[in-house]
Amino acid sequence: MSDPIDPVLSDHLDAWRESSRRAPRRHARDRAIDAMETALASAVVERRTRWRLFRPRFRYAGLVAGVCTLAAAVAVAAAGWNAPPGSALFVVRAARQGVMLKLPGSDDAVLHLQFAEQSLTEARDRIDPEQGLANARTELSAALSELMSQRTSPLWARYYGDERLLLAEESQLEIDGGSPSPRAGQPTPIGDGQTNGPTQAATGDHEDLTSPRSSAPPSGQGDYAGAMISPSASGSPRPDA
Amino acid sequence: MFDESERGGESLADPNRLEQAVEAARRGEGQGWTALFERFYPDVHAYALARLGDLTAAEDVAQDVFVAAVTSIKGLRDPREPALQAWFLHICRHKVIDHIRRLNRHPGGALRLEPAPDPDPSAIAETNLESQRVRAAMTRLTDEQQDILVRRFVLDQSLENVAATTRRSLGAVKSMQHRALESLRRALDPKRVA
Repeated sequence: MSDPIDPVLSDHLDAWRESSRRAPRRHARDRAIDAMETALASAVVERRTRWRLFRPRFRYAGLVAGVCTLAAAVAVAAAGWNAPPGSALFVVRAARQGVMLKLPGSDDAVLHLQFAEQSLTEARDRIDPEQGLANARTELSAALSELMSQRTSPLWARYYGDERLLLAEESQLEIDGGSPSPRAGQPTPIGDGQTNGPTQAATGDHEDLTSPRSSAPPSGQGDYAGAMISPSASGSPRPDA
Repeated sequence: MFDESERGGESLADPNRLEQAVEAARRGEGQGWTALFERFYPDVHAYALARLGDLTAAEDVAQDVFVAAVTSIKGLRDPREPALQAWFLHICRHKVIDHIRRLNRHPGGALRLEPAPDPDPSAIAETNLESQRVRAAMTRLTDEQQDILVRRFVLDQSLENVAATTRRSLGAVKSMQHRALESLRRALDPKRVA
């Protein structure tokens, strides 16, 4: 397989091999075993010591970190649970509302109306009214979408009341010098012949606007005449369309 | 931990036993280390002695190899015998290099060859003389060439085994061996070359 080796060189290599392959001395061998045994014992002790030293540290550090994280999460959730619009923690409230809507068994129409009313209340309290009214408008639009499949629902009255309040607040905001909202200035939908539009809202008489209209709930036979739904704002068709 | 009854390197002829010994050694069990020591200490000792020519230094290096192996066996991937032997020899090679560097930094500690207990002192002297000449000539070779020659002519490894354990091609090992032998021959007999 390999080239033949020069005989003289081969003799040298044989002598080298013979002197190198001599048996190790007994005491050196025993000394090596002792050294290896010591190293092995040290390695085992070191491993145990390392665990003993680090395990409690990691355990306590993990415990402290977990408690701190939990406390911080609870604090943020509590602070942002009903954070007003414009607040840095409003995302928490939006997330909470999103979770509530996704919970199984939740009545989305009721929730949307509830969220809209909360936004309207904040707008009335002049807490970032533009954003509050925008949120209310979005929620009412979503509630309308939910209610379209529930023509006989008693929630229609609540919806009408909320929508009238929204229109009134938008008008009030415009009068107060705020930037006009997308809905502001639009003709008030004609309902049952009574005008509950900007003129009345501008007087500041809001209390009567929160109550649902008596004639508003649909009868279930397609009698939606006068239903004050704003297709231009919500993008939804009339319930009886 | 290391009973005399456990010291049986011959019992590791079965590859499964060797792998079991490696697993035991990884768990830090003395029995596994005893088996590995019995199996590979002679090779490690021979390698170190062939490279250094100093019996005491070779014993020290062989001892250091097994101490280092205790702390680094976690990194051993292949528990089969060729890879295991290559792993021990790899550690030994680096220990030899470290030893030579220390000697170069402290020239006072010259290499010495101690005679082994043998009934024929004249034969020993002749053998030692020739081997010392070989070792002196090998100092002109590179570390890799010396490594190849020790594996081939002291540990009697085949070319294929050397190629596999040094992660070189068979042709590269052949070529390296050829150049190493040629350099060694020139160093041993310069007149003949001339």
